Amino acid sequence: MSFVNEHHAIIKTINFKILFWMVSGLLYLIVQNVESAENSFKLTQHNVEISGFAFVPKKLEVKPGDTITWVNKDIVPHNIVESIDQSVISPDLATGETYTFVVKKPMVYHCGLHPSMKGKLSLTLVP
Amino acid sequence: MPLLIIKPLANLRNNLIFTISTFALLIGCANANEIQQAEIITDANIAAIVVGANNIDISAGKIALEHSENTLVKNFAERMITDHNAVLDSAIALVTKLGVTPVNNSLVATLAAQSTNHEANLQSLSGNAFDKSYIGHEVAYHQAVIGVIENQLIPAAQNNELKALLVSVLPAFRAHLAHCQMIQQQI
Ligand SMILES: [Cu+2]
Repeated sequence: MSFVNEHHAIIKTINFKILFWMVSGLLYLIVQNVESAENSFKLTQHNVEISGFAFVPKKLEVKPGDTITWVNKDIVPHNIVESIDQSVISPDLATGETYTFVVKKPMVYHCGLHPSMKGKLSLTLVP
Repeated sequence: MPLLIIKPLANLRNNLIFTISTFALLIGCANANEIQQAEIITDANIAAIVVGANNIDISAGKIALEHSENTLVKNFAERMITDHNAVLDSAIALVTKLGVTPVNNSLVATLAAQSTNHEANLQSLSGNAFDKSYIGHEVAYHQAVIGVIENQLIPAAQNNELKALLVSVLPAFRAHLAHCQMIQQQI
């Protein structure tokens, strides 16, 4: 009799253990998913330096809603023009001046004053 | 190769007087280049070359602003005036700080003579002929100056700050070269 009860108790303990691990595993997966979803919507502030007649970095991966700040570190003025439709993004930036822009779509751009200076913003896909 | 044989071929065909003077300049350049080989380029010479080279491009830009009717060409000329003034200012600020007094050498003399010649030619042109001559010369001029900075001035510079200045102005000259080459395709 006592042997049967003892056996029962062991089975119960094992069941509780399995249940505990299953529930915590599930919780872990839920928390992970929520976190990664939050991360993919977390907006980023990117800095692009204009120096040596180049955009540094030249290519950036961004999400819609991210902000880009260009800072002109050269001794001459530069600006930002969208390369496909030629729309003017920034005014002429003198030495030390910055321009901040919210990204809505992928963009290829260049300097309207020095057309050989090119840059690219491409969209990161949500994981 | 002499440094400054940079007359567009079209002009050689079209203008006999210019052909003769260009030929004379070509010979002059060859001689100047031989002298240049033997000459030691001092930091004072580099200062004079940098100041001279920027001034020449500013001066040609001013003529283009007056003579050209093409928006691409005028915008480019405006860029040359703005950018080369900025480079000139930083070069003057540095040599002043270093206490270097610019000293002309044969290269400065060649640059100056060539520029006088080119400007006289520009003054006689208008319309598309002007634009082609101005832009063609800008392409050759920027190529020549990049070559001189890379192959002669940077190796010769004694002062590290002066060397750094020369290195830092190269991207400007390269961007200008790419810019006028783009315009050359469109005029
Ligand atoms: Cu620019």
